Amino acid sequence: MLRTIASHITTISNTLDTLCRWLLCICGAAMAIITASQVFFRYVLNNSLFWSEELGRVLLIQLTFLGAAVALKAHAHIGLDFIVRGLSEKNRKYAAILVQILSSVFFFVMMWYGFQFAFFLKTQSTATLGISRMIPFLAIPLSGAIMLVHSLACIFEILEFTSQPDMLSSTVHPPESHTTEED
Amino acid sequence: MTILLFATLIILFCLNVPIAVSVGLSAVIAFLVDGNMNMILITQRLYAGADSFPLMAVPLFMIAGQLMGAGGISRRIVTFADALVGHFSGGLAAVSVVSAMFFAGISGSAAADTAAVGAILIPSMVRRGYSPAFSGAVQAAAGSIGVIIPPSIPMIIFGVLTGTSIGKLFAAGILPGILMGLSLIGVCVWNAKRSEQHRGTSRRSFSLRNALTASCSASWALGAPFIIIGGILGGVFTATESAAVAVVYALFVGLFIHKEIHVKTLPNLIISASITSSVVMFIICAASIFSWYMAIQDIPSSIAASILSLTDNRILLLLLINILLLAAGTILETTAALILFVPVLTPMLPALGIDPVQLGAIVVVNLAIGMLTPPLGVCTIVACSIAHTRIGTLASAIVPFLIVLLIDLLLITFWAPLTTTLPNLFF
Repeated sequence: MLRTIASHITTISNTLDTLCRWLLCICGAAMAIITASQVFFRYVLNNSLFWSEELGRVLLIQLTFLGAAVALKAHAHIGLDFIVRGLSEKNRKYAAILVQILSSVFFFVMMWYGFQFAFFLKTQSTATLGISRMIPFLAIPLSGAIMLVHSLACIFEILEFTSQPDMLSSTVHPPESHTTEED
Repeated sequence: MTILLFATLIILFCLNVPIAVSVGLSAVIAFLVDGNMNMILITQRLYAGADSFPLMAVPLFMIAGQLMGAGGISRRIVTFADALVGHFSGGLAAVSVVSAMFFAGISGSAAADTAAVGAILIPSMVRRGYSPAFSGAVQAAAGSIGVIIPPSIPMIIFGVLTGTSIGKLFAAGILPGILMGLSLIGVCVWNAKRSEQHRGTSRRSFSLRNALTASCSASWALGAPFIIIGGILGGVFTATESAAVAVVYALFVGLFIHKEIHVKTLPNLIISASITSSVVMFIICAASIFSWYMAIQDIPSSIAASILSLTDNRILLLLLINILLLAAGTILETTAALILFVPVLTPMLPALGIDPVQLGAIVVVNLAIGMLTPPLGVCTIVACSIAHTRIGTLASAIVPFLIVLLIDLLLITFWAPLTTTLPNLFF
């Protein structure tokens, strides 16, 4: 039973991750294109774009929070692991689960109160794009929700409900802090 | 409340909770204990933390750096640096410093600088007979210049936090960056002369023809720093716009001149740069909740006041700030350190009697040195993973470089012209 739930959660988490990666790519590329064309319009066409700055900021926010979710899935967030690294393997597992639970509290706050604030913003519109202020703000509750799913999937992985043994080691040792001697 | 806030933060850090989450969660806990705070404010501050035009430069510079690495720009810079200083004794180590300095003119991140140049030069240094620890240490120390020579992501953040002109901050970093680079080369040469073992094997005389050929093939690569730095200093565009122009330039050179980027790999390059920037941006957002809460509780100015009550001697104060920032740099990630400490430092500016631009340079140089010092030194971690060595081994090899950088730091702190001449010249 738990095993089926775990495998569903893992599938959802992986699908969301793929989706986020594509959206992340679009945001990054669009930001570069819009900002570069802002320079082009100003110097070459002598016609400054009035909406480019705001659209750029909206894209930056989407990139930040979508990217935070992708980074969580990729274990790319920086942490201080020098104390945890000294623990036994079993205790490291418990510590990793505790980290996920504590992180989930923050992700839940992002999601729950984020949705509340988003609905509050529904009727206001942005300065130059004229869209509802809710739309860009949704990045925060959605990112919180996605990160909750990722955290849950990660806990299942640590508890070995899903058969991905090599993912465990990268959970306990984030890849960017691999300091073991090779050869 | 202050104690609760910092105690939670430290406990969460020690548990290896990601830094952004630790900072955000400790603010959540403070809100809960406080009772008068609406949790909705947390999400609002998160949003406001990223809602800034100057901060757009962070992902754009990351993407530009990624494209330049993939497009063969870093490799050409290394060849050019080899033709320039490869004939020194300890030549290859000097090459790694000079390459890192040029790459610093493209990239705004020290970790990216260490990775891009180190991936090429650390294996070559090991093959040439340098120990992995020394090779890694040179590269980590040189990579820290990545945030001193413009563009620089920490300086952008400092500018956003204090309202100081980012162009001025960038200009202030140029001379200190060159000073740090030259002094690191000095250590490399001294080390080679002392150990003798690297002599002879790599010794050759300087050839002008070699240098000219290398600079021709590197001309597109060397154009990048000139466009970025020149564009900002000349007032042609803002830091954010220069980053976007750098992306277009890198893409153009990678696709059509060097022909080393394939369109198929583009999405992955953009995604990986975006992930790296999101890690920084998420810390900025979460820390802005924390710093906002501190600000309404008047914590930064009361810390500043209690430091000022210790002494009003500006030399002692500056030394104290340096020690504080160096200590913070050992355990704090750079972005988090900036957001937590800069609000404490700015109220002290009148007592310090220095220009905000110089304070920016001092803060960033301190935190750049913090990127070398374990436990949390990103440059050291990156260099270790490339050199396949342990942090402990590398840490002892890095000591001579650290000593020299600390001397540079004292010069930058107490000799204002080093940081104020160029900003006054250009702005």
